[in-house]
Amino acid sequence: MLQTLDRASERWREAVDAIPGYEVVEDGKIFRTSFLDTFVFSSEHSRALDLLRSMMALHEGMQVHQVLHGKEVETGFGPAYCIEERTQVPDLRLDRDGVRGRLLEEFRLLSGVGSVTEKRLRGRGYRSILDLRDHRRFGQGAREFLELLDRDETGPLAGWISRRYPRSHPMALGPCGLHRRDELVFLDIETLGIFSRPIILIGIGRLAGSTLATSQYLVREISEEPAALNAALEDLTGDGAAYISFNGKSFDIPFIGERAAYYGMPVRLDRPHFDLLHFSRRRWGRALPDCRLSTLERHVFGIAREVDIPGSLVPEFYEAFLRTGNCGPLVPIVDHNRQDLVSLGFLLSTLLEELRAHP
Amino acid sequence: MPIPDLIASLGKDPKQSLRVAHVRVIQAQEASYGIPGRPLPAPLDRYLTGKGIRLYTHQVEALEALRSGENLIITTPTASGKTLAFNLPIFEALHDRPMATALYLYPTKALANDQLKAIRDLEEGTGIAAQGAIYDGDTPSSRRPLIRERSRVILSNPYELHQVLPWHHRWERFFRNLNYVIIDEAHRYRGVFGSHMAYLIRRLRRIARHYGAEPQFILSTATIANPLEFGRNLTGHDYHHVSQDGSPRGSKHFVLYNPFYNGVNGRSVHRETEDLLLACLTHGLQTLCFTVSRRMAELIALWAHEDLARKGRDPAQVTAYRAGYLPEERRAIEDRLKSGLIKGLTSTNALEVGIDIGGLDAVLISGFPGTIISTWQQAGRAGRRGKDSAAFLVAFQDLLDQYFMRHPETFFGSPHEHAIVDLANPYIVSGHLLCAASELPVQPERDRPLWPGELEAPIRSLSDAHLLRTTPHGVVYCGRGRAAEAVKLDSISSETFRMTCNGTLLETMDRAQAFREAHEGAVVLHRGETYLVKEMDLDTRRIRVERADVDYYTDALKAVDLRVVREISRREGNGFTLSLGDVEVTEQFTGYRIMKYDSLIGFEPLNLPPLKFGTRAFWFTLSPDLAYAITAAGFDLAGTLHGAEHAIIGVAPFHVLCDRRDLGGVSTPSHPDTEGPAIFVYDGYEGGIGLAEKAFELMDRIASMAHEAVHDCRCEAGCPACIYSPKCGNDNTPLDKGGTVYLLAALAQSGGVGVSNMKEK
Repeated sequence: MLQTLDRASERWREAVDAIPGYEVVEDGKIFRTSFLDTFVFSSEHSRALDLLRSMMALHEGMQVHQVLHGKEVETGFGPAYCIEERTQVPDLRLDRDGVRGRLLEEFRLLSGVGSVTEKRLRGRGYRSILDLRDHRRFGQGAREFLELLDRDETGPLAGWISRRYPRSHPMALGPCGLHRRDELVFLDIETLGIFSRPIILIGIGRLAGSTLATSQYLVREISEEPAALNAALEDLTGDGAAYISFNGKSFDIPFIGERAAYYGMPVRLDRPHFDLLHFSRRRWGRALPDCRLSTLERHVFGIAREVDIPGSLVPEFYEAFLRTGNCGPLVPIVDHNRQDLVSLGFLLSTLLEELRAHP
Repeated sequence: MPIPDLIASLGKDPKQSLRVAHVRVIQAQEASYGIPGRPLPAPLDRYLTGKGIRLYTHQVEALEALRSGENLIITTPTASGKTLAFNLPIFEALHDRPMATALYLYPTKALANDQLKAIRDLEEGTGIAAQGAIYDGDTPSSRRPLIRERSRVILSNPYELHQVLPWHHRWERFFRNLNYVIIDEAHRYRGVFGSHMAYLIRRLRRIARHYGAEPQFILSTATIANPLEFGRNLTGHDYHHVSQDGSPRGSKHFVLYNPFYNGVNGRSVHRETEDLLLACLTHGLQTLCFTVSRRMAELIALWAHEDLARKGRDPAQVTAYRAGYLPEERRAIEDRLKSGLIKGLTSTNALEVGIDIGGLDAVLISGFPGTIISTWQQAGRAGRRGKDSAAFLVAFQDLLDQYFMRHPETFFGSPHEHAIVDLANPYIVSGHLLCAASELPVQPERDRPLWPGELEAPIRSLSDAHLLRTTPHGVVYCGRGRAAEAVKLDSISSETFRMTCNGTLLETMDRAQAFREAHEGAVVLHRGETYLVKEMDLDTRRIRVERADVDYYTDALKAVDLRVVREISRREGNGFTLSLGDVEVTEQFTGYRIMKYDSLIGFEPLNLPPLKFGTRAFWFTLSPDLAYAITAAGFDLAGTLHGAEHAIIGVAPFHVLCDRRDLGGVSTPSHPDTEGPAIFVYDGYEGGIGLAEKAFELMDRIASMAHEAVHDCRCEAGCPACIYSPKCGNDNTPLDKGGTVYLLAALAQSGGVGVSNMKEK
């Protein structure tokens, strides 16, 4: 039956490959269908395949550490390969006092206050939620809100705000500004597909001066996945950590949770999480053909990635590496991931700036 | 006494009395009650008392078996209080252990919906909080998290479980506390579906184990010949078998009715069914009539209308029922039945599930439904609480139908059908290995005791195909697509053909079945409705059909080529060698016949690529002496082998639970791989699903039944009741009935080739 077994394996290989990870769409044919990486334009697709070939030709016979400089970090699950880099990002002013002030002005954060009541309260001389502490009707709510604000509980605070405003309202991003710069953890992962498959790269970014310091844990062999997870979990579960991601609430964080469970690592990833996808969709969704991170980058910040692969082709690239051992395809994956982290920095900076500027 | 009157009147009618082949009276039975060894918790006790329920012996036996930690397989008949038999002990456990959970699996969503009512009723009646809920493809995503977090009783189906297992960490509470897994209608998990289910269950057990749980299993199934073997194959556990029914029953007259009593076709068998329906109505019996197709259900109802109107009786008392009725329509029919406005209902077997009509007075089964299980399930519709009932099996001119008419003792005897769950199909084993590895790393050391199939060889093979990787943490899935999406539970491989009508998916099938049954121009029967295949696209594997009310059917003809790859086992007897082994089959569908009733009205060629697949087969090789003896006796050797092949395939499904189309055959006076006359019978599924192995094991019974069936048939040169095969690729030529009887007699005499003097190689 051995022969049949190989035939069966081959059949499964075809079946698994045939499951579409993305859709190739004729250039310009899609108009704002999706914010996510579920499609690629045919020109991008053919460019990406060219890139794959050239990368493989360029790095023929080279080792990962020769191409992607990194260091091994010891974890309880063996060594994790970490690529560190610093990239300039716009000055990200968190402006704690400004954000506090902004939130305190917002009477509508209190249950029962609509625009009419707000006007009336202002008319009666109330300037800030602080003034409402002893108000007969809104005092209770005001005191509870102030309690959260004073305790810097940004997660519950964000929850509070999104009960009063749409989830994607810029106001809900406010609590992010209450964090210390070193608490923000920018997160973006690359995987072999959507769920139940390995993570191949975990990118973590932290603000350091005027730069974003990225640590990218690259899985050089599938067996390194638990080590990469373990190393990244250190960052993700540190004191005061708050996550900044693009669609991470639906994708990156549950994915990490699932893979940790797969390897039997207990984790809790219930930190404050500011998912910029929703805010971006609200802010730019109407103006842009789609809301992929790279599109935002190009249109909003004028950054054109010189060499890039669409996110949905990452599995294909990684698989080429797995099957051939040629590490060329990893180069654009690592670059792509780092660029995504940097773009998150730009995005957050812009969104916070606008929150300050437009009351 | 309407039922004895009816039977008596059949006996008096000169025409009908000839057709009554046998009347078996199944005696009424008094209830036998039992008392649990230890009282039930107060809320359950109050619930039973409140409802006036006393426990039957089999319910108490089930309770005690589960209490003592055993796994339970229960085969008492429908309406014997089976569900309560396992719900009681489960609710007792839910009461005693506040965190305990239970998973109920049903083969269809409709069944789960039915059973949820029973669970809810118990929950409300006892106050034991189970938060019983259905979790399947129809469950809105907004409700899912709450069910995962809170429900202690979840009703689902295998398809959903297959999708849920990779998400086990979200189900941690449920799996950690999993005390019971209930598999209802378990006999449906046989053949391909059964093999998939067996591995799905192993995956479930592996996940449960990961969270420290070892649930007890409860299988509820129809009567089969091998309940313990079946349970072991399906789940990997040993079982306590509860079969002694303690519930009360009225007597049942079971009539075997043979319109072909003299071997020839006088009147249409469907007209004969209508005669019986009218006879039942005349005796005031509320009657349900099962037919082979919806068309027949409607025709019989129509004829009955005409005849009733002619006699000045109310035609509206008969109606046809078919699948696909809306819930309101179904309820209207249910109500009219209950109030007695409807006396006769005709239906396809779609009625086996879905409509709640309780018990009726009589059931007519027009044509053997293919399995004894279905026959008894249909017959079980007759008989309301303690009242007498009647059931009729109206025989067609088919091999098994006619065999039962002549051998009622076999029909009513101990169960013969073995439900096969094969654990060795390489496609299924490796497919589920992929799924398992995507749920938790596979650790061969740890997982081997749970995994009935090969582990190392497929891991190596799948690693070579870059789908698995061995790491220090175990074997990890690393394919790009989701494993559970690639593996479909109802076909062998991923090569699934999708049959759609106006964009709606009717069913999926594998390539072999698609070529055989759903080629362009084929008439396809789906839930009793007929459809015409308009288009089959081989690249996209799509089959487009349209509803068509046609009165003909189609039969694909195929040429088969077979090569022996490896002989695994062999037995030798007088003049025969019986072998079991791996073969490579090439089937080429060359064309199809268009048949109306039993006559050929057309032939169309087909242009399909050949199908090549590896599978298991058993084969007989004849010694030169025996071959010479057959020729010397004046028989045609080719026709003899061909006839014996058909007869063996015809009776095999009675022993090895399958459809006769699941087996293929080739016979030839000389085969290069056997160097002599040979008959091959192969498992029609890629990689095999255990049919050939089981048939090989049961060959003595199969051989003697095949011999009797052909020997007893009154025809001269062969007919559909003996050696004609409805699916013969060679148009039933050549056939030699005399030779077939001669050969099968020799085969039967040697006990199907030496089970007694068995020499395993």
